[in-house]
Amino acid sequence: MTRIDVVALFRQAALEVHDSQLDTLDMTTVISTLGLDSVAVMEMTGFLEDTLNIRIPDEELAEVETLGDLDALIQRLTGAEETT
Amino acid sequence: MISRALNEKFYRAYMTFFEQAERSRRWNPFTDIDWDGLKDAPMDDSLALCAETFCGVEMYLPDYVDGHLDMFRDNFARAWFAATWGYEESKHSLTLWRYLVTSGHRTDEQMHELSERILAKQWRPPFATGRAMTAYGVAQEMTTFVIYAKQRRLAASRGHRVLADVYKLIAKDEMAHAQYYEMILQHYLDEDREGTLNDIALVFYNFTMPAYDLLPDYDARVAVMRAAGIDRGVYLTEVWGPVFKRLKLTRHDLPRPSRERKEAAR
Repeated sequence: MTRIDVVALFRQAALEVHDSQLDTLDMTTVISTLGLDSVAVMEMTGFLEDTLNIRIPDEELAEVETLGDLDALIQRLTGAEETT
Repeated sequence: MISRALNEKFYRAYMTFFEQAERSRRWNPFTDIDWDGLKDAPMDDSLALCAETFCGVEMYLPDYVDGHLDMFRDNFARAWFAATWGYEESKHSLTLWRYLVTSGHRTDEQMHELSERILAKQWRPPFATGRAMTAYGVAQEMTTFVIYAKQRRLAASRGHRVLADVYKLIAKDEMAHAQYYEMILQHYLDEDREGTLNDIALVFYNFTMPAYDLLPDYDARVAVMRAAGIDRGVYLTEVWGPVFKRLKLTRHDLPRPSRERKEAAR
């Protein structure tokens, strides 16, 4: 399966859900530093889940701190990590 | 209009809550706290500021009770709950007030001045219906419980046994309130699952704690309050996680908030 560009998708989610333009994102970005409240991040998570047709368990979502964490979680849940 | 059957369930939920409170949860702020133990307690400005902030939030009691009664004036069980809840919450601000003064962190005069500044502003309910406010009640009480539990651990770790005991008593009340609201929410779910899930989603995706932004010197409190903060992980796993589990729901059962609904909620 093709590896998903989680950073691009996260940027799109911020725009769609929160009208936020996030330009400087990379795998080391700590999500809590982006000026999005925790509820907004959950809405964006919903956008990602719908787009990718996956369900992120809350316990695992709670552990995500950086975009790298989110990337690893999403690649695993979509099965994309096996081909990378 | 709430059906008679649902009202009877509300009545039983209230009586369960009230009986448990009367039999095993009541506490006395004059005799159940070792105020003399404060004589040897060290001063701690950041813990005091947090306590003062929580005290301030609890001081919006007239608005909270007014909001409840305005919404549920004609509903026996829910109006009686509002009265009982108001009594219990009134003890919280009084107890925190007494802590701040007895510990020497504040004077009575300072606390009176704070109360005047607080009561000069008015809190308004964030949602328009009783069912949505019930979901809000669950989230708000659980969040408050989590915050007080964190503060209790923090106070204990810094050697502030009396303050830790104060938070323990208050947290127990907050958990009881959350569980009462959960019972009510379960009855709403049983009667109208889709509509209730919509209301839970509305609250889940629009939740903010009551009145914090109304407090005097709000900005100065924020940095100190971060230690008690509710981040995404805590909100998911400690606030809503147990609630969803008891209601046999997951976040994925909730409808995603549409842009229109979000606008309507603002």
